[in-house]
Amino acid sequence: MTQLIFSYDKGDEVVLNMGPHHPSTHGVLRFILYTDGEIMRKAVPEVGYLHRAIEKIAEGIPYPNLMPYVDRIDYVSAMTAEHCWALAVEKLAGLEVPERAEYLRIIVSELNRISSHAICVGVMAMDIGAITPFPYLLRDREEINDLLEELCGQRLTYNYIRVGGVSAGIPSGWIGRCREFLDRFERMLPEFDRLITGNEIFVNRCANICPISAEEAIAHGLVGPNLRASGVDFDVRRDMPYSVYPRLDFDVAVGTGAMGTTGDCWDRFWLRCEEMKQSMRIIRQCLDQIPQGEHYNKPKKIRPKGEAWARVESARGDMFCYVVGAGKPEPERVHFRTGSFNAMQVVEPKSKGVMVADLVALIASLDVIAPEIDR
Amino acid sequence: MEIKAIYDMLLAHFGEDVILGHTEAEEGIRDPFITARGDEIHRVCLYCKVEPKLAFDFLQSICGLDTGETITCVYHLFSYAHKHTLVLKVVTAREAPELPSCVTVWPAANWYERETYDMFGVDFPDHPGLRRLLLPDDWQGHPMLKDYEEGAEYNGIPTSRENPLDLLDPEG
Repeated sequence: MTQLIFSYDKGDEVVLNMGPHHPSTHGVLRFILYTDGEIMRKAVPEVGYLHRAIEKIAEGIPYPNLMPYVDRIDYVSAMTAEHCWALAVEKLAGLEVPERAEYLRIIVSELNRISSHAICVGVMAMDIGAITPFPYLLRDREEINDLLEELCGQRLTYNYIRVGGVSAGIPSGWIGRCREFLDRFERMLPEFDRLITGNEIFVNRCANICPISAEEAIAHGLVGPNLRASGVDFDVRRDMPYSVYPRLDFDVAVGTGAMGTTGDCWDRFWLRCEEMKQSMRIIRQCLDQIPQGEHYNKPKKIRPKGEAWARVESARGDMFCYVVGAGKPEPERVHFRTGSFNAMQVVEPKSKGVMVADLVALIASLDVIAPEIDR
Repeated sequence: MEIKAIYDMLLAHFGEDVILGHTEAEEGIRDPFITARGDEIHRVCLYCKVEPKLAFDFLQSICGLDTGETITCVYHLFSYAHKHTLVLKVVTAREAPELPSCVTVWPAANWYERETYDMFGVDFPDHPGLRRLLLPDDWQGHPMLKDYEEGAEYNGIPTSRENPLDLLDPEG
């Protein structure tokens, strides 16, 4: 790591340290900024402050026991991370999942996606200077946390999805409360749009800032909302379907550059607002379709041999898990590649010529969660 | 495209010296893979990306794998145009592991390769800035190797502690 905190010995270039405890770095994350006045030459991310060696821990514990650790990879959208690990192990061990569990997994994943996107768009508005929207979204996220707490007893790191199903069934009246929440939240979204999405100051701060073209996005491996905002029409849920997504009807929003250039910060913001609406559609369909029956098909012994990969559409995009088994209760190797990891990589090439204040908009719009980079 | 068709294409282009095999016949393997020669991985990857029938434009991950005698690197490729996946495996020596860098093929390989260097000590000589990614620069060793032993302390900070539950044990 660069030893410099401040240095003024490079002509006009000033080297500045940003983070690791900067309010807009969303976790513990450090940037070294090479600036000339307000204009940046480059921003170099230094990651690893939240490295918890989850991949190493995985090699020492049985397959199902990794689930609480997987929660900590992405604590804002833990359900999708759990889903990814469960899918990888089920594929490797050839396990069947009851249909009711598949629907429950999707309901909780989409609820979690709404809460994660709510945090992202709220925090992005706050980073740029609009503090008001964030508490409203926190209030709505609180209701999702309550719903999920009722289901599994936890508010953030759930340990709900199990290898072979989910840990608990639906409490009585939960479906009704879930529908009530969706109805309330649906009325909230247009208000939120009026408050911030079309707000002239906000649009001016975000439109045409750090646009990422479709080619750049693919080459740098951007995934999920960041990729779609750049105009690439790809969603793992639709194009590489898993679970019961093929039975559900939803649209995939794609960035169009409505306020400026395709793939700018505003597109990334708007896309997440659209995805929240689609998630609500998916949850409503799941609540209608969910069948009766078992929710957990507990596997007796998991000692798979071979290797498998799984991909899910997490709130931060395509989450990839690769697992190798050697016929033992513990996996031989586990590897996670997450959306934030790739999103962080793109900061250095995209930060050239950007104002220091706009770097905050770029980081916020990429929706980076630090532990997801470091694992 | 199925793995067999991709394998045949790669074999026809590179020959048996470079494309060493694929896993169709083996039992118990859930996801098939193709094995290639380590020092040719850059050429193979470039071909996989530019050949229109393959068009692997997204490098999903590079994952190191310590098999005991060798270090294996696993490349997961995906094509947005054709929606197909390819798993490429290359083997490198456990002593001084070294592979060509793929950063010029996919910029996304930059951090993947830094992570592989950090965790497994695999050297990528033509990487534009190969240094540790997740661990501090002065960390000793590469922790994802199976024979890695953690030092008792790092810069005066102990790396282990007594189990706090032992303090609650009335007899201990």
